[in-house]
Amino acid sequence: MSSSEQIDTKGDGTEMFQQDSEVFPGSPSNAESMEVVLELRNLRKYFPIKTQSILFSKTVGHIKAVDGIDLQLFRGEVLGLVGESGCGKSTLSKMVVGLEKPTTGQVWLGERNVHEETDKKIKLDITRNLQMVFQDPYNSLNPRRMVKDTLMEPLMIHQLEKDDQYGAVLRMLKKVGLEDYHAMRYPHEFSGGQRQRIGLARALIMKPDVIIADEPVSALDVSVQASILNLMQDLQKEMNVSIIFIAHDLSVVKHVSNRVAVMYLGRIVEIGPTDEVFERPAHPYSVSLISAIPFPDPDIEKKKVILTGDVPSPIDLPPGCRFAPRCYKVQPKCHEESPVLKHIRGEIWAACHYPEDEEVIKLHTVKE
Amino acid sequence: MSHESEDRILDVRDIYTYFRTEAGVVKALDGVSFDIRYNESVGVVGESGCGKTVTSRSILQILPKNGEVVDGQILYKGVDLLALTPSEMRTVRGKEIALLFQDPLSALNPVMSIREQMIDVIMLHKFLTEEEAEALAVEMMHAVGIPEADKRIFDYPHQYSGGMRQRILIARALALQPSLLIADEPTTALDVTIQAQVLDIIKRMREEHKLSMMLITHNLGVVAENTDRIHVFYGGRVVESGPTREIFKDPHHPYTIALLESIPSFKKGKGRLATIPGSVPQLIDPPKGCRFHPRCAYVTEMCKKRPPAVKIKTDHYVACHHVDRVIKRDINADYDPNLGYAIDNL
Repeated sequence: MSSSEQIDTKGDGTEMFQQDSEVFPGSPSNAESMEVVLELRNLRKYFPIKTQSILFSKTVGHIKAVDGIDLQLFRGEVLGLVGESGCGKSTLSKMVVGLEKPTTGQVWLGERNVHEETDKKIKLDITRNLQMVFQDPYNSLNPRRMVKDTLMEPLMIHQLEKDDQYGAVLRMLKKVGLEDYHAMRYPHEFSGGQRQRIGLARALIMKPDVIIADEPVSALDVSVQASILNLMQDLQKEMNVSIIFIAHDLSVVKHVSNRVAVMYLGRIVEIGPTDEVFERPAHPYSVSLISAIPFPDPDIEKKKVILTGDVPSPIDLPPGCRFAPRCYKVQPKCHEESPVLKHIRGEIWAACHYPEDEEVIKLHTVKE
Repeated sequence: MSHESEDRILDVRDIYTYFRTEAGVVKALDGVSFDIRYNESVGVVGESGCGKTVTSRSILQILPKNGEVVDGQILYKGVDLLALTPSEMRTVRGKEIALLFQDPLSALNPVMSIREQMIDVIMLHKFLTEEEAEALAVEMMHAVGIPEADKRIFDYPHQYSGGMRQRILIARALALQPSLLIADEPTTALDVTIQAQVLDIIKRMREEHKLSMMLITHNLGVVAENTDRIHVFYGGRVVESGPTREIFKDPHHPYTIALLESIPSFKKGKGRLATIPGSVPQLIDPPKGCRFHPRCAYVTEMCKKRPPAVKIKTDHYVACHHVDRVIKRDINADYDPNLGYAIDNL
């Protein structure tokens, strides 16, 4: 991994990354052997809250939507990002693709800084490599454009496939399971599942390194959802693209991702390989989140950890651990000192002073 | 199905609900029959457009103007609701059968305080003074776990979070001590941890008030954990009904099997998911006979006739001509395309 050299040449070294020996928080132990395609360093986004008098507006506080996220995404992996509404998942994804400017911190795509790059050519290349798939297939396609125009526009902007752009569009449509004649149709002529295929085609036609999929299947019915998930998995393997998969449906995340990061109020509280996190979570928030998923099997008896209260507002956050007011094993230390992401066991990293033990956590048992 | 009706709180017999639209008549419910017993929790499952919500609205007769129940019987405690006059029906809604909506924000009036909205409903159905109604409202809010209910009752809907609003609706619905609760996707708009809280409250209130419940949802996990029996809807008809455990362990209808195989689940690995070819039928011009036949792998000429409900075991009915041909498999095992229920394509 060459992160320390990059920072030195750019001359904006954050202390944390000065030494090569330092392990990147949350990354697996074999990270050295893998290629990092995307790296987020201490990313923060604060939205100011303003009061308006007749003449002046005054900032009275900040909504800390994303508050210090370090994350590495490796080539060819699917990283699931889970958390409740308002925890900053969407703000994070907008910052990654460059739609929102971070308050502090950097997004590195390989060796290029997404937000500070000034060279137009490199900027164009960055946008080509960071593509997004949106939640709502009804609103994310231009209703007045034929599918071929929607898919052709990025090719023209980026001057790709110059000799046969229309052919490239047709090949892409075939890949996502649509036919040639669909190219001449308008979005309203398609069903929700087909529209999401077009959204996927629009992202993949750029042959990106990274795709950010923000709730790509939550607007679809289960039987349609299954076909989109199958398609995403096939194309991900075929094109070896890395995906950040955001979803609130945890069983979907479990199904598609290799690694999973759990977010709570703008921070990553736990990260690790999907199976390990889902079976033996370490952070109390992950424990309650995973135990709350309804199980489609009446024979499984689940130990439910039901949280009291709601997610607090990200405006006036208490000092110490953000989860402390709702935590079932809160200690005095939790209110004083904010925990940082540290290695717990196996490949699991969590931000907790009193993480759960592997032996203690057994979330479900089969009924007699 | 058998006809002893003493143990049934609700017995829906062969109802047809049609909507008149510019494009033609939409046959939203086409001969739906099912029942709910006393103290029982029954799940109604299906994808969007299968008639789940229309069923609940037909029972309470709160259909939009262009909709009408054209035929059938809805027996509630032995009385046919369709034969009641509008004023008699008003005493049933809320007092006898309560409805819980999917979106708790649009079910509350944003410019009225919670107190006004609660006591309005209570005073309409119960002979109480305003003070008594308020005391009852506070008591119910307290029971569903709203802290400082006596102060918070003066707040407006926007001052509550999504989970809190749904609790208020539960409190308001149960203040009138109904016998049947129809919950139409009560937790779909909520986060998982809040969903668990709300379902926990509903479960507790059901036990305390001896409520029967009809839980409408598309989330199969919620149904598995919260119901005793399930009715699976497809294209405006019931395709399979039976005890929850049986439906999950031993489904017989090709649609039920496909539906269960298409959900990603905890036990399954990362293999491919089963998909159902084609899409949900248009109800203006639905397929003849079995409505699932254009998407079904077991289709034969016979499927163009309407399939009868075949009894598999006690309480377990399947509407399919080919019950004995359908291959049954462990729904928690990884999907194997070679065993294939369906052709894996668009």
